[in-house]
Amino acid sequence: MRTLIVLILFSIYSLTVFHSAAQTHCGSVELLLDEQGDNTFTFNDFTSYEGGFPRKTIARLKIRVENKTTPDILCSWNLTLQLDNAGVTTNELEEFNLYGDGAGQNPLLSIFEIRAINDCMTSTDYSNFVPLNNVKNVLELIKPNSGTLDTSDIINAGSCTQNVNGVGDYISNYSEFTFKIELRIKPGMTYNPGTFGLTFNFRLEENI
Amino acid sequence: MKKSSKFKLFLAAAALIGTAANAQLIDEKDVSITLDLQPVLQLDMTTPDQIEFVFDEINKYQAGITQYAATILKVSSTVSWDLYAVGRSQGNTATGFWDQQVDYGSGNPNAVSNLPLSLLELRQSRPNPSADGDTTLDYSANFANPNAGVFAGTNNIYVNPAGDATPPSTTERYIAGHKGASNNNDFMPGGTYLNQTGHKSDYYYTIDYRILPGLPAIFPMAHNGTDRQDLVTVNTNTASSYAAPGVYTMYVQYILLEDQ
Repeated sequence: MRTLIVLILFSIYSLTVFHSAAQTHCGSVELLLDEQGDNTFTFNDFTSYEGGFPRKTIARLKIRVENKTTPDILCSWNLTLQLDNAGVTTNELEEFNLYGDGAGQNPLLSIFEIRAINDCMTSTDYSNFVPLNNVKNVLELIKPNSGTLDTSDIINAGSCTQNVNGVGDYISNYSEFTFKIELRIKPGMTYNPGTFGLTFNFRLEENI
Repeated sequence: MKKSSKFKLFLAAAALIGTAANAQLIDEKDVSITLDLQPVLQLDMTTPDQIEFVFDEINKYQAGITQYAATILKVSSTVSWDLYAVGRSQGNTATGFWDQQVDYGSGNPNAVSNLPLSLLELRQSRPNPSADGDTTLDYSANFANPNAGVFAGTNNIYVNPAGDATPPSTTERYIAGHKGASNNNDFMPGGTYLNQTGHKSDYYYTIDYRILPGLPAIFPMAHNGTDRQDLVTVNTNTASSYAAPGVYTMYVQYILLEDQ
């Protein structure tokens, strides 16, 4: 009798676990960070403050998404970006040190604009420069699936259209699986002088 | 091992299997950037090397001489700032007075060579935004007409009693900004005249200068912000005093500093 109870409990538990947890569809996902340049931006005269950096590549991302040994037609992925300012006010940069009395305003995220481009312009929302404004916002470079994943959500590699998220890699489909991350920075002359930082966290996930 | 222990162990193993089998695949990379915003605090000044006031006709003594827009001040700054002018000299007659370079006179006891620095009047092209319209806190008032008989000292240059260049107090004049910590209306925000639009800018000022000796030459407009300093009123002189003819010099120091 006790054995029977154990078996029943295990069956209920197994059903619960396997039903509630996401089912994985892909064999592997890999995000490579390539060509990361010198990411220190110096502003020391009128031209640099007011002109800023019109376009600066801060990273080149390369993506590889492989299917499982037994292919799953729902294997797909998304690419998001989150900002990290070490917990200061959500719309400011992290302060490292100040050069003056710091009586003014520390620079805001809005001095940045970002875009993520490739040859096929696959990013729906970030193929053009978009201003940053809050570290709590998740920037969907390639959109995650919303709702129940089905085949209509998959845009296969090679189509060279927006939001390609099917299986593939930067070797076979360079134009869709490589992203150049560009920043535009225009601080203006109203913010506190000092050194400030911001971290960009790129995340590649399989869709579930 | 007891049966209950076996049961717990079994459940733990099952949980591990269930969890591990369903992990979502994720990969992450980070990129950090640093901004180095170096301070810029820059005052551009366009002005003659020497601004001369030559009083060689009687009407110049009476009406005074005004040099319009003789100095142009342009500010570029990435920090909050204040701008003020201070009248200074080497003090070769006394601290707070013009330097006498040449004496044309004959040593008449009524001829006074101590001309107060405050006889120089300034007028700035637009009001100090931090003065909130109070013309006792900037140089935006029109030059007063001496014939009106009111000598309130509306435009006299700030002079530090000790002869140095320390900033004016809260009751004295600034061209832009004012004494005090930020977060009040006592500072000018960072910015530059280079990107201003329209016909006026808080980062661009022209300065007019006036000297009015009067007749007799007692400099009736001289005022230190509290008291008149014309040559008759000022302490040691007599009612028959007048300015000793000669060549006098002083200098105006324009100081742009981070708000404090």
